[in-house]
Amino acid sequence: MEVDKGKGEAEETRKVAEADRDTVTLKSSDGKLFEVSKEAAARLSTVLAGMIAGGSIDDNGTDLKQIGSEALENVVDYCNKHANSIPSAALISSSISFNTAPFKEPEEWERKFVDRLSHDALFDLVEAANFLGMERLLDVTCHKISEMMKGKSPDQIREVFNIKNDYTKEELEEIRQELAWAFYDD
Amino acid sequence: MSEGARNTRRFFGASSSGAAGSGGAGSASNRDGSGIGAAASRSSDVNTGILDENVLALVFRSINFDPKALCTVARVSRRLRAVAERVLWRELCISRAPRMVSSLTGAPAAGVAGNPPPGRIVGGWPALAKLLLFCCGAASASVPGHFTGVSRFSKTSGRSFLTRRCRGDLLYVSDPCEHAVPGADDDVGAYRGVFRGFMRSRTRACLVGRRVALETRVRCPYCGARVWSMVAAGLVPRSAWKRLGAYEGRLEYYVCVSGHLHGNCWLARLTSSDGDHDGGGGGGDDSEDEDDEEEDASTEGGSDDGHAAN
Repeated sequence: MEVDKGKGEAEETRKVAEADRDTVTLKSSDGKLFEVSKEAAARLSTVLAGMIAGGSIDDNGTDLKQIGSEALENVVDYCNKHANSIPSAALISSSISFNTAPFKEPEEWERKFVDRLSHDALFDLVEAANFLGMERLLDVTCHKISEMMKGKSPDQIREVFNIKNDYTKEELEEIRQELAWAFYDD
Repeated sequence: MSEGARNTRRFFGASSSGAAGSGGAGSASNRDGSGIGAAASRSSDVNTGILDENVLALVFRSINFDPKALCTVARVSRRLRAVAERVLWRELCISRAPRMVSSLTGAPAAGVAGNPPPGRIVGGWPALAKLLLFCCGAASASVPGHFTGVSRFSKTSGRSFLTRRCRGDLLYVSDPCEHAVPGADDDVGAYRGVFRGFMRSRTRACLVGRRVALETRVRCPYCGARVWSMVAAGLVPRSAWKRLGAYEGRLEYYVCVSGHLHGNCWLARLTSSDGDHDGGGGGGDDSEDEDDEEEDASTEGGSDDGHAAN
């Protein structure tokens, strides 16, 4: 199988691929191909698991038209890191019952994984994870965004996310009063 | 089925149902202002991502729809406020009181796959969220309102606030939130509630039929609408005092035109601090029905505190 590997593809992929050849090839919206462990893909993405089970995986690259190459590279990177890093019993069992499990704090490597992303890349990755039904990756990326908002004032949030204040002064005061209730603690 | 599963299904429902494009394409069209294409416009229009409705819903899900964060985010821009009012407050309500929301909206029970989320609710989602999480206090006794931890709403309580001829209405009322009042021997109990489909309720028909005037000085603390005084209307049944364990006649409650209820009463202070008012007062002719669904609406300690409160 000839695969034009994506530029930033992680070392780990190669190792996994060589070890069992049990991989699937994914194609980004801009036509780049990425290889990812079938086991990890099926475990981490409900959509890919469905496609694998349903036999709709294309050996020449399964089209994922909604995902750009940068986001797909991050998805694949995440799958590979996940597959390699900690297949601990706890994690495996938690991923099975993930839907019902309470939110679990990101692991150290997951933190590093999202910390290095630009805002745009982070948002694109959230959308890709949402599209692919990747619970854990969604939690990790969304948790990162919520941390960027946490404890911040509206002004600070505007600054961090580059959002324009389009309220008038009067509206702003009105809505401030209207939404102050959550801060009247016991 | 757990709430986690329900939320997951809803968020993924759109994207995995073949039209996976709806995740990408749909959200692109939602992006504020930038009517240009999706990914391509990214680089020029920095960080449109957070303005995306799906992304915001997922972000807030990860912090269990923290009400403080939600209040803050709605103040950032019109776009964010609109998303909050259409989606985020609703999801907060569902996460705190799923059965109550499904009962109020007449939507199929949350948790069944494929059910669309309830659309609108009379008075709006922000008002219902505030009602779930904010004790109205008692203006007449100078007790200020406050954010609440856990509140229990029940239809049984609601029934005792309805006169016999209005018993067909569905009304949720919270347990009274007790407040000591400086200089007073007794405590003030503040409570709140909400009708289902108030526009078509018997209670409203009674109020309108009796030509009860709207109050001039009191407004609904949840939606800001005008209110009727049920005391002035003569629509407070004895069962309300009994249920609350309140002194007869020392109770007031208001219902707004959107069907939100708020009120307060004076409660005999019990000797044991954890005394249960229901036990003494409400037990008699107002026994629990078998099919009654009690519903806790709470800020749900664990994850909420962990992520948001600090």
